[in-house]
Formats: sequence, structure tokens, C-alpha cells
Amino acid sequence: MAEADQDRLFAEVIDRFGGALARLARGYEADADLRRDLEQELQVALWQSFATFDGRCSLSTWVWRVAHNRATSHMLARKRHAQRGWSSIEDVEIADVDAIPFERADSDRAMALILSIIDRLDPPDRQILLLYLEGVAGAEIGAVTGVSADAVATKIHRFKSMLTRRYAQAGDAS
Amino acid sequence: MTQFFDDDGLRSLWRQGGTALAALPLAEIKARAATFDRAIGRRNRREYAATLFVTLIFGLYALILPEPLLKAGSLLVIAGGFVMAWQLSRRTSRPDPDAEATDIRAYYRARLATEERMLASVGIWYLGPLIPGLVVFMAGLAAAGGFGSALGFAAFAAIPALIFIGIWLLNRRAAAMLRAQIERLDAVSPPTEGKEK
Repeated sequence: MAEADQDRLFAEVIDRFGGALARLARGYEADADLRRDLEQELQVALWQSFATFDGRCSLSTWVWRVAHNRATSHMLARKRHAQRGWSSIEDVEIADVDAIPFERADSDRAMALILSIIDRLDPPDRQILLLYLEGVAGAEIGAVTGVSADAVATKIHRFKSMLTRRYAQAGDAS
Repeated sequence: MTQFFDDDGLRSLWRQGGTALAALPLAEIKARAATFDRAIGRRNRREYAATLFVTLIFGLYALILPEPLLKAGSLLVIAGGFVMAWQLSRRTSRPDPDAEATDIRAYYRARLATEERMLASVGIWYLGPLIPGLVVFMAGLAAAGGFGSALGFAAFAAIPALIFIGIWLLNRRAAAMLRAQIERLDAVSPPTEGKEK
């Protein structure tokens, strides 16, 4: 692809996916400074990738793949020490999820609960849930992640079930 | 709070909490893309610098030490250092824009598998090339009578041997953990049939 086309495609993608990329970075990196670094890495990775964009998949699938794969590299490089603590969502115990202080607003508590679960997940499951939260359809999540649609649905169901149960447990404890 | 936990509620909540992307100017992105390539060059140069240091020290030994076995051992250590640096450079993973466009599961599995192979074979490509030179060099020291007794030689030889065994065991353990991760990935997330690449 000519560099002018690469630049044009990149500008289009930042305009269309900029907010989603910032939220993706939030799902991978809690530290604000490192998150900014990751956002910049994602932009460099996307611009580089468009040199070989050949329409083998849709533009959105391409963007999600490149962004999540670069974020995975960031996770592996920056959080190697935490790698042993990651697991698939099937192995995350509800009791391990952080307790959420009740003095916070409901929406803040719900968001903290979501991030607490995501932070425990290994890259494949983290990607599935972040794509779901972005509103990506199940079939496209399957294409982006390389996981069957049934497995995607199962993991999303487990995620929602965990949120509901953890909230119920917090209510019982109060 | 349960109103947040249906599809629409969760997605709305997720979007509310987001901050804007810290967008970089295009010129800066292009500069960083070029800088990143140079950073890989810098890392490789560090590896070559370490090899150069070993070459200088053992090159000096090869010149000034009288015992033929010490000279031969020094030259073998230098050769082993070059093999090790070459292998390290060859096996180090680098960002690959084309690979990053593959599906996420395949990319992650490939990263884990590459790292597992690298760690599992560390005895061959990282430690192995140095062993012949060190063995010959130490034999030269023994021949020159530098240890006084067989016990003294054994005690001296045990130090690098234990270090090498420790490095090998730690890397084997890390490789086993990665293998377990790969097996779990294969078991929990079976790939789609005939998936698009």
C-alpha cells in the first residue's frame, strides 16, 4: 500500500476507533503512565500494519487483531511477573474478585468490579470480554480471536454470571 | 447495581468510563516506527558488546598464557560466545506487523510456543556453546598445576558447573510453565474450524 493510502487509512481508523482504543488500553494497563505508552504503541502498530493491509478481513477485524496483539505483547513484556496469576475465566474464583467499597457510586463500583475480573484474565479471555464490552458482535469476536462462537458465548455468560453473583455476595455481606 | 449487568448496561457503563485516546501526530508515529527499528539494533549491539568483551579477555589469555590447552580453551570460549550471541539475536522475538494481523489466539499461542522453545533449549544454544571452551580452559589450568590437588580442581570446577546447572533448571522450569499455559489454552479455547487468517 502506498504511504499516502496508509496515512489516510490510519487517520480514518483513529477517527473511528480512537475512543475504543483508549478503552482497550484501560483493559490492559492500570498504570496511567504505562497506559499512555500503550496507547502510543497501539497507534504505531496500527500505522505500521496498514502497509500490508490487503483486505483479507474487514478493517475493524484487522484493527482489533493488531491492537489486541500489540497489547498482548505489552502485557507479556511489562507484566511478566504477574503472568502466573492470569487464568481463563473458567478458573477465576468469585471469591478472588476484589471487594468493592460501598461508599462509591453504583456505576463506579460496577466498573471497578468489571476491571477487577478483567485484570485476572489471560490475554485470550481478556480480549473476548473487551470486545464484548465494545459491542462487537459474537461472530466478529470469533473472527478476531480465533475462538468458536460457542466458546465466546460461554465465556461472556460466565462473565455476566460472575458480576451478578459477586454483586449479590456484596449485598449479603452489607 | 444489577441494571449495569445486562448487555446494554455493561456496554454503556464501559463507554462512559473511557478517556480520549492521546493521539500522536502522524510525523511522530512515523518517527517512532523508525526509532523502534533502531531500538532493536541497539539491543543487538549490547549483545555484540558483551561478546566483544569476552573476545578481548579470552583473546588476551590466548596470546599471553603459555599452556596450549589454555590457548585452545580461550579460542573455543570466544567461538562459543559468538555462537551464543548469534543464537540470542536470531531467537529474540521482534514485533512483526504481519503476524500481528493474525487472529489473537494464534498470535498469543505462537508467542508462548516461541518462548517455550527458546527456554527449553537454553542448554543447547545458550550454555552449550560455552562448555567446550570452559572445559578445555579448566583442563589447561589443571595441567599448569594451578589447583594444587584434584580436590582443589573439583571445588573450582564445581562453581561454573553449579551456575550452569542452576540456569538450565530455572529455564526448564519456566518452559514447563509455558507448556502448561499452552495446553490450557488448547483445552479451553479450541480453535474455530477453517478459520480465516
